[in-house]
Amino acid sequence: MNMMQDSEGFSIRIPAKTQTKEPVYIQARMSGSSRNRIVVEAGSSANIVIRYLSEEEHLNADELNEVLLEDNASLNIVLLQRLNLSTHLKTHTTVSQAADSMVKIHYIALSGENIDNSLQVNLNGKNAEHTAHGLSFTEGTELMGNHVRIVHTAPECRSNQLFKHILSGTSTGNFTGQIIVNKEAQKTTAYQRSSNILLNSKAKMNIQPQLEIYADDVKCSHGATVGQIDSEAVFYLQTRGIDKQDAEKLLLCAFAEETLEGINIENIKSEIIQYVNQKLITS
Amino acid sequence: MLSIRNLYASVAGNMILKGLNLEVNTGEVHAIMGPNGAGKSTLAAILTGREGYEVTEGEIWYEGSNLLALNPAERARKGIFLSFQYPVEIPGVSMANFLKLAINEQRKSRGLPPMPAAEFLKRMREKAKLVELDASLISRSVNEGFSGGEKKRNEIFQMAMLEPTLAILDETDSGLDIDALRIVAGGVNALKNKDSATIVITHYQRLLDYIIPDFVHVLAGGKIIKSAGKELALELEEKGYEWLVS
Repeated sequence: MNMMQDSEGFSIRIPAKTQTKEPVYIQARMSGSSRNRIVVEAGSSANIVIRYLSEEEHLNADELNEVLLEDNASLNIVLLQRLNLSTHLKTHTTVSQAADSMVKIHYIALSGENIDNSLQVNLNGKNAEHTAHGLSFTEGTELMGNHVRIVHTAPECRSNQLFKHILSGTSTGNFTGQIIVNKEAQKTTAYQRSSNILLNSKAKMNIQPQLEIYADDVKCSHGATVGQIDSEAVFYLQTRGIDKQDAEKLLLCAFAEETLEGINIENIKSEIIQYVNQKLITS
Repeated sequence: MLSIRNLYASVAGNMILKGLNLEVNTGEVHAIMGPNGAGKSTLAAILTGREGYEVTEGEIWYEGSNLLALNPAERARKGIFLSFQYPVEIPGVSMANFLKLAINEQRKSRGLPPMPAAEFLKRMREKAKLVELDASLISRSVNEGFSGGEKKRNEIFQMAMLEPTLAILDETDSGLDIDALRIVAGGVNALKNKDSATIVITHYQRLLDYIIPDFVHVLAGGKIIKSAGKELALELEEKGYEWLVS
């Protein structure tokens, strides 16, 4: 693996036919703009965790990630965002996937005044697969958005989007999910789901699904829900001896954990679950 | 053990229970029957503390405590169990985690340490066998994708795990075929003991062929209008409720 990091950003290149077992951990730069590049060459695989942490107040960061997967390459990438409550972060990631490649990307946004993640995926080679999951917690006046655009250019590709927001206070969440299936992309499978829970009636969630399908042999679906914690489920748990608060926490945890499916770095997954638990105690 | 005195209760402004009295002692099985809309499920809701139901008059005592002053979880920890008419699916919460939490919360309230893992697993296996619940269901999320019969068996499985002192079965027979009914009733009978009691709420006599009640009460118009032994159930099956109600 080749890696370099300078004032502009970082660059990672996994040479062909290399299976990197140990995950790569990267600390994102939290001020100004940076430009990063990840290339996974043919037949290789990599696990990457990008941590976004801000200690100082009023930081403003803008990040551009360019991700390239060659034939039969695979990448599991987690963007873990725990920012100071006065920090603004904008990430824009473009992913290009060649034939038989696979990407799983997880956006975990736990805190920050304003976080905006956008993802553009191009499935350029046959039989490529892309999974994009997101989990965002907002409280107070925080604002978080996920904007996904997946373009199916080649046939027989699969894409799957699952984005969830848990919102309290007067916070706001935004989700824009676009699926574009070009005429040549026959036998596409593309799913998109946005599920959201408002813990406070003053919190707000905006959802914009958008499907543009130009091929005729495709399986596509999208669904969006905004709701509260299922009171019937809370009562069911209560009748078994579990206190209301614990019941609600259990349900929210279960709701959140669905988005963590596919993270194959166990210690990162448990770290996130721990943060989620902490979050739910205070919210 | 349970004493309901002159209970008046309303839901969404409609008075449903109008002066209901009921005494249940340990070791007894009580069947509460009645026409639709008589207030049977309201009674179950009131006993377990469901939100949206308001008691406007009367009192309920359970093992020396004022039941109405307790929240639903506290009632459960005092040994009250409700088998739901419509068990709730809870995606993402595994049966094992759910039951472990429930059992340990109940043990904690009795000053007991958490149940050792080996004992918990052993009990899961034994009790699943009792209601012929497939082992694969136990590794799934609570009720998720269970058939109607499996959900009802899962209710009795949970009851077996939690060993309540007062079990309330709300229309447990609805939607069950005869085989499932036999299994569910078998589970309930196996769990019966001299220190616990059961209230069976049912519209039909059918379940009472398998769970033999000591008392049968007819609930109509918000109160109990007749109480007798098990033979009353057969009479109701034959004649319906009209002769009592009018």
